[in-house]
Amino acid sequence: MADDREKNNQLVKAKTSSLQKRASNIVSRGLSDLALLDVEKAKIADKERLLQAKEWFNKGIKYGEHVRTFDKAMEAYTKAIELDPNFTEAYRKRGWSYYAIDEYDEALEDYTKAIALDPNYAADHKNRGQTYDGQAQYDMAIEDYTKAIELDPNDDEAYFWRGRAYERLGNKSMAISDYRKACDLGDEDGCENLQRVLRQR
Amino acid sequence: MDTRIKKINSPEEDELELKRIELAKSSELLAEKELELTTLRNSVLHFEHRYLMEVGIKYVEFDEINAKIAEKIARKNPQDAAFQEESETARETANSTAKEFHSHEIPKEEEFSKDFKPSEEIKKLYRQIAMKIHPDRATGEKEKEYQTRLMAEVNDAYANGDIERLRQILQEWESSPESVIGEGIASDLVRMIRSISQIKGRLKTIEKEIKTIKETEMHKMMMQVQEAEENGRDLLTELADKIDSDIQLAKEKLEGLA
Repeated sequence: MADDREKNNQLVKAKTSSLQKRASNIVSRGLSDLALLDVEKAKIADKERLLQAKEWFNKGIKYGEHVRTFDKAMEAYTKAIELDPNFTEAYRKRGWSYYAIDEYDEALEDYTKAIALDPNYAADHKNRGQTYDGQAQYDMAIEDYTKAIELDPNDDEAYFWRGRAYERLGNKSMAISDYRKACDLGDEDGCENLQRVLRQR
Repeated sequence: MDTRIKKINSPEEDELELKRIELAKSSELLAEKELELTTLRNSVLHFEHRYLMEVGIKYVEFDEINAKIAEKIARKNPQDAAFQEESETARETANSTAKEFHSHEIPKEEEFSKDFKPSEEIKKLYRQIAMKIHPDRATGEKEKEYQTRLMAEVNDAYANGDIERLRQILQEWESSPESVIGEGIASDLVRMIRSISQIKGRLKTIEKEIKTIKETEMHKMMMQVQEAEENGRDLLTELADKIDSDIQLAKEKLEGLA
């Protein structure tokens, strides 16, 4: 009986000892390898996520070609943005889609996000300016057109639109100056509007 | 004597009643804590076994191949002291990894299930037994020894999921003379006070043991693996696969050296 007890005690001791803190190369190594595993996994997951975002974006472009699948295009862009919140091009396209269906607030949000991600892309400023125009916020529109002109000084369209915004605000002299510049750069509408405003004077 | 009049307890009887309640409560708590400890211990042991067989064994192989690579390089460059040293270090690492692996008592595969998952039924039975035959409730040294041995047997049966054995132990206990408690108020009171204080001491020890187990790397890893399992990931297999691919690369390197 004493032997049994001794054996039992030893067994309990042996079992406990393997659970007690002791330098274990095999276990600590496993723990650090597990941590590395997660880092690698995260990298792969990241890549996979960005690829998926790109796929949704391409789907969006395809759907965007036809008016009847326009809402599907918007959904696809939204999925792309969910997967990659820094997907500038997806904000641009979605912003443009919102603008096309007259949802200006949403369009402004997307353009603003795109501009935040890539501040020196002239077309975003022109498009946001157009959206502000749509909301009759001409001051804001002028700011954006000015930025677009700064980025691309030979953009006749940007001058024309800025001239039109000035005209709508009643600032004829600035309107004339911008229409003239647009006309000089080869914009026919600019020339026409220049003549019209000059005649009104 | 009017039997309708409630019997008035003597102060000793009141005290005895209070102690009886306290003892019952602490016995219950102790049984619960014993269950927690033995469950935790077995969970980690099962996990350790699984880890060693799925992952640890691969580290042994990997280190061995690396040692062979280093030895081969050293043999090819007998003049280069750095290679000689590297080869010795690699051999030492391989040996110590193998030694550590074999220092664990590895039970035969069929005797060990992948996870330790005691049923509610066996847990209930364990609680019942632990409450009744706990050595910290024993009245004398002899009884204590007997009950210690019995508890060890109970823990073993629990670890092996042997519900029949547990039932048998409980039955045997209930028909044994040790289960009969001494008569007389005075001896009861002394016995109960002593039992309560013994139980308190045991509870402290259990808490300490639980804490020690929870601080081990093995437990840390077990928690990590269990959490991942809930999210549908099998970390141990992922880790084993990674080491397998490392082993494959090392094997190719070793063959290239030949």
